[in-house]
Amino acid sequence: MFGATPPPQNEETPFYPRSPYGAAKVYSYWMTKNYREAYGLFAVNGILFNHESPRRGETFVTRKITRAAARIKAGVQKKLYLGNLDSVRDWGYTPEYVEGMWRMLQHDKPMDFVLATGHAATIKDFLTDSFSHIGLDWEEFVEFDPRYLRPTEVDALIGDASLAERELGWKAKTLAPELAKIMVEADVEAPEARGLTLDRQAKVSMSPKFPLDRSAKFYIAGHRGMVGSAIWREAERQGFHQPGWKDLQRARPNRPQGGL
Amino acid sequence: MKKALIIGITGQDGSYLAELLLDKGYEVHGLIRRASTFNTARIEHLYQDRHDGKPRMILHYGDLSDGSRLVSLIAELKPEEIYNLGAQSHVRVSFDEPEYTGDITGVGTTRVLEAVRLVSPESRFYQASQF
Repeated sequence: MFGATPPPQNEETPFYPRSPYGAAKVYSYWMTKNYREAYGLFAVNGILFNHESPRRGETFVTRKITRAAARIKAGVQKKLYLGNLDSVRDWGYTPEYVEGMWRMLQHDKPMDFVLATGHAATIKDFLTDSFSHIGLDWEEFVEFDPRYLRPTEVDALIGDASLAERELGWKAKTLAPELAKIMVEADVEAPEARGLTLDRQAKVSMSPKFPLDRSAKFYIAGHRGMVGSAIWREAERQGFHQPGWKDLQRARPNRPQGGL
Repeated sequence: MKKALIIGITGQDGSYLAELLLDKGYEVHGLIRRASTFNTARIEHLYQDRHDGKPRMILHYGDLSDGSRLVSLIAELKPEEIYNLGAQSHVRVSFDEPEYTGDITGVGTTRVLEAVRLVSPESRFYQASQF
């Protein structure tokens, strides 16, 4: 919504949307305010600056970068094509931002709040932080593609969340450099980065001497890996079902991709 | 136990918000669109409640283009909190689909607000206004 207004942007900053998406969001903002004032509804607007995480969509630049770094490291991707590397953004960590949303609805009165870190970073900074964290030099792999330049580029978006800090006690803790590490680590662990897509799954065969008693229990350390997951699949195929299997699969609830 | 409705629960924010509210003991309801393709990857891990007891995350089919469905759902649930995180969220795509984007990301909000006003005016409503 803030598109063309200079930073830092806060709750009083005039809107200047730069896309049909931005225009729709401005409309929604005013409707929310209108219903609060006209009908006394507890209705609030959260004006959140960019917030990222390992669950970010793959076409968004931060995730595009960390996913590419992981895949390049794994040898399943060669190059990363990007547009303007000097774009400046205020990037925060999504779990902290959703906690801010919740706090807005616990407040004693309905108010609109900006959530942001207040810190600026460029795409180049994000590239450096994510690639170097896994031992790569991004300059060897990144190429410019003008198709990724936007018709109406936003120069700099940096938010001022001091109202949220005063009224809600909310403050962003994770900044872009650490965010880059969190995201690239998650992408390195994702099966896709290791080439474990469905058509490249490993197969194992079990010896006839293996226990035939389907109530037998065995433990797989490394069940998410190439060999471990293949053993899992074969065991399941052969009828070794245990109540514990699914619990183990869901043992790490914060993982973006459950199971194998 | 407080009830929350998350519109856009299958998105990045919705999935983290669902986890947060489940951790705080809420009964979490989510609106998802009916699709023949799998669209719940980010909340798959929440189908099995991490704590003992019956699942506290319940999904309902619906769409921001369908106001009467929003009314019937919100009337049935009367949640204490409603988070509207739903949108066509891709900026570049919005140039290709401006009318659809306006309908879902813009007027969709009006549909939720009207539902709240008509059948659940005590609900607290959060609008994801974004920057």
